[in-house]
Amino acid sequence: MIVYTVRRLLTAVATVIGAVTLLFLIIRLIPGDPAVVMLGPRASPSMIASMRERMMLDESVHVQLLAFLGNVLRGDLGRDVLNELPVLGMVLDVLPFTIVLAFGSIVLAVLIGVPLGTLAAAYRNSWLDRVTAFVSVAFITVPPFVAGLLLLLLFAVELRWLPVSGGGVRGDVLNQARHLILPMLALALTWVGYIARLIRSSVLEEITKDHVRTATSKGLSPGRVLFKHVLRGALIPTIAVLGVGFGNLLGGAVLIEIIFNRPGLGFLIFNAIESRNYPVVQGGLVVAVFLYTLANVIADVSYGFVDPRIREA
Amino acid sequence: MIERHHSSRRPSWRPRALFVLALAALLGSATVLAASDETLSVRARNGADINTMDPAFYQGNEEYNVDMVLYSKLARFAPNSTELVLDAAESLELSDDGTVVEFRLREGIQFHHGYGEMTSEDVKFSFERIADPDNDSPYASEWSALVEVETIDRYSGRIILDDVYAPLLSSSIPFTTGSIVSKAAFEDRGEQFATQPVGSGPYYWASWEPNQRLVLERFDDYYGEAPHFKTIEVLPILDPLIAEFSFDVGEIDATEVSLESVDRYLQDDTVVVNVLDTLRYHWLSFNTQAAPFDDVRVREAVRYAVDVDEVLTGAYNDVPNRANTMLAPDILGHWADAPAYQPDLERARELLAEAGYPDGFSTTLITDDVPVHQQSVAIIQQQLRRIGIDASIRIVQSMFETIGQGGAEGMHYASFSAVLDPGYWFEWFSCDQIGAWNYWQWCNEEYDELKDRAARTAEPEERAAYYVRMQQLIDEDVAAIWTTNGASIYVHRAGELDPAFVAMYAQYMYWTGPVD
Repeated sequence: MIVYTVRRLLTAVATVIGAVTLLFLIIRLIPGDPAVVMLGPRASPSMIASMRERMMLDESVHVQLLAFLGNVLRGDLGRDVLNELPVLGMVLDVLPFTIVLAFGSIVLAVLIGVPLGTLAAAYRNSWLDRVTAFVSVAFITVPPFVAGLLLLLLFAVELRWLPVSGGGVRGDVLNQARHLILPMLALALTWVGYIARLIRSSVLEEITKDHVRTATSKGLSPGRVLFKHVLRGALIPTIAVLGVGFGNLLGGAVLIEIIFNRPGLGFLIFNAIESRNYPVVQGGLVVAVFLYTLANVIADVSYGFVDPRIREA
Repeated sequence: MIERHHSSRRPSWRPRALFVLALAALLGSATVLAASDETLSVRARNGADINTMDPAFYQGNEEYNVDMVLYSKLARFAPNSTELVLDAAESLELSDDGTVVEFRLREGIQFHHGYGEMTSEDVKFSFERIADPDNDSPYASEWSALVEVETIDRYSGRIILDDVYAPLLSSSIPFTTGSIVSKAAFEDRGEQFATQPVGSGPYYWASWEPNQRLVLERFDDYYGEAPHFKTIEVLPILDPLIAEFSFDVGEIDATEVSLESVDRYLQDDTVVVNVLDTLRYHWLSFNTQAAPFDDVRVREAVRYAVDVDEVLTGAYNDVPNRANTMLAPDILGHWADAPAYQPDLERARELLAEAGYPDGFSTTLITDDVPVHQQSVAIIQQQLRRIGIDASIRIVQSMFETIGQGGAEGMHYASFSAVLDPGYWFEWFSCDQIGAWNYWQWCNEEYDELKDRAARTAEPEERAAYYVRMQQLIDEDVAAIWTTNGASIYVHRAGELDPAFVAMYAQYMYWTGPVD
């Protein structure tokens, strides 16, 4: 297991470096001179030159990349070129909002999706199964930003039960929780559908296995068989999906954060792209890539814990 | 109901004659406010967050809005006007030759956060720092004529210029480049000053959570009238639609809204819609040095083919006023008698035939990725087909970046932002801007000469006459077809707010709460 974990971590490091390098190069493909865009029409050539120097834009791309990676390894994500704020501080300031949103969404998706899928499997081919299938597919096909707008219109604008925008008042947990509900729900819906479908098919596959038949023949109650023997096996593929899912949720969170005007990593990166604030874009992306990879590593390792075949492979 | 706030009457000073703005009369009449404990919650203009509160490096409008309540200036704008009232100065005097401004500060003005009393050293530091070329401020041109700020004593000083600089009292001093920062705080806070600014205005910088909210609190030791609201909360809401929803449910008290939403709010009796002229001009230009538009008859034919009113209806939802010339109506030098050209397709076809294009021609119509520009060019494209001009539309990300340096054939539709002083509006039409911003490549020596002369003229009437003539030159040569100066639309609840604006900028310090 240790060897497996170490191997997985090394792969993760290579993934982070590769992804960051790729993103670094893609950012350079955004049309327009960042110095000109940032400084606007009043900028004189000397100001533009000075800004280009500060942003290292006159250096070749590989020099910029090496300097950037070196700084990242030292834990320095650079400084906002407009106000000199450390990027790491800016990212850490908004990161909890994104993590709470993504994590809350995945928990919510599991809490709704697993029972839904299990019920559908337990009552296979019944009207309940068909309704569940319809709801699941509907959830999967509605993009989070559409779900977000619909939820916002219904619960915030029409019914006025929940706030429209923002992340809530700092230090007021209840207020922050109210601001979290709609974005979390919008982001979770797709995964409710995925998880429900996945659990249903896993459960149906699991109940045909020998150890489940044995448990049933031993006289265990159907509920005990389901929770102790069927679900345990059925959850394995779900765990793997959740790792990837967490990463996707981070991506989906960008749009959700913009729609709900909610602070977070995606919102920070989006704003920085708008103003070509390279250090903030790069710093934000490094953290996003790191989180995505970390989520996958955790999923893989936990998958290995649950299924011995994985770690022995 | 639409309340139209226009940006001002002409500045009221009398150059060349000695003038003194009397403290009590001007400040006393500015506004009457009753302080309250209420919070004013507004959406940041354009949804953008603050980037820096260092006046030398502002990035956008919201920083300007906050600047006006955070920092004192020697003189500031009166509510809903560009008329000047004294602010930190108790007297401000322009010399006969227009090159020296002598000022005396009020005694006892305190900076926020305990940084002590404002002195003439702070004024010197603030202005000279922006003017210093080593500091690379994008606003250095506002103080380009500054030789130095000479301190006479603790409260008095002289602003010495090397020549007359006309925008000094209409822009440099009362707008953001006239903000007086605390020298001690700046030196103490260093780089952090940009995000922890120290001014002496009616509100101090209480807290800022980037991309979340900015909180400004009423400054109890402010030397002037206490503003109505105890707290101003500025929320950077990116999406206009979400800002409108937030306003609808009462999460914010005022917001800028989109052109598309105006009708909805106009039908709501509980909402007051303020349509503000923006400091901007939207126009159709031509590459005047390349065929076919190097022939003025072709440009004139286009002017007779384009129905500006139709463009305003289709693309701008009929909200902003039509512009017949470059300068907005309330800006010094506005050409009030500029002709409002109406479509005349027969005349347009005749002109095309005279120019050798009886069957029309094919060309390109370039615009940037601003939706209202794209809608405008779609309408103009159809209008031009009526006289045989087949214009294919090309969308670029930025006019300047894509076609600025090299110019571009065909026609272009864009809008340029401007400032309160008229001089800046004319900058981009000068010959020396060809290869930079003047991508329409129009060059007129008389225009350039008048531009330079106007910049060195302090007398408003004389200066205005130069600007009118420059607009006439553009019109005679059909270098531009103006459509509008645009509109910035703010909404607030009737009876709950009484806002104030200078041009399109919010003057939060004058905003008052529930009104009878």
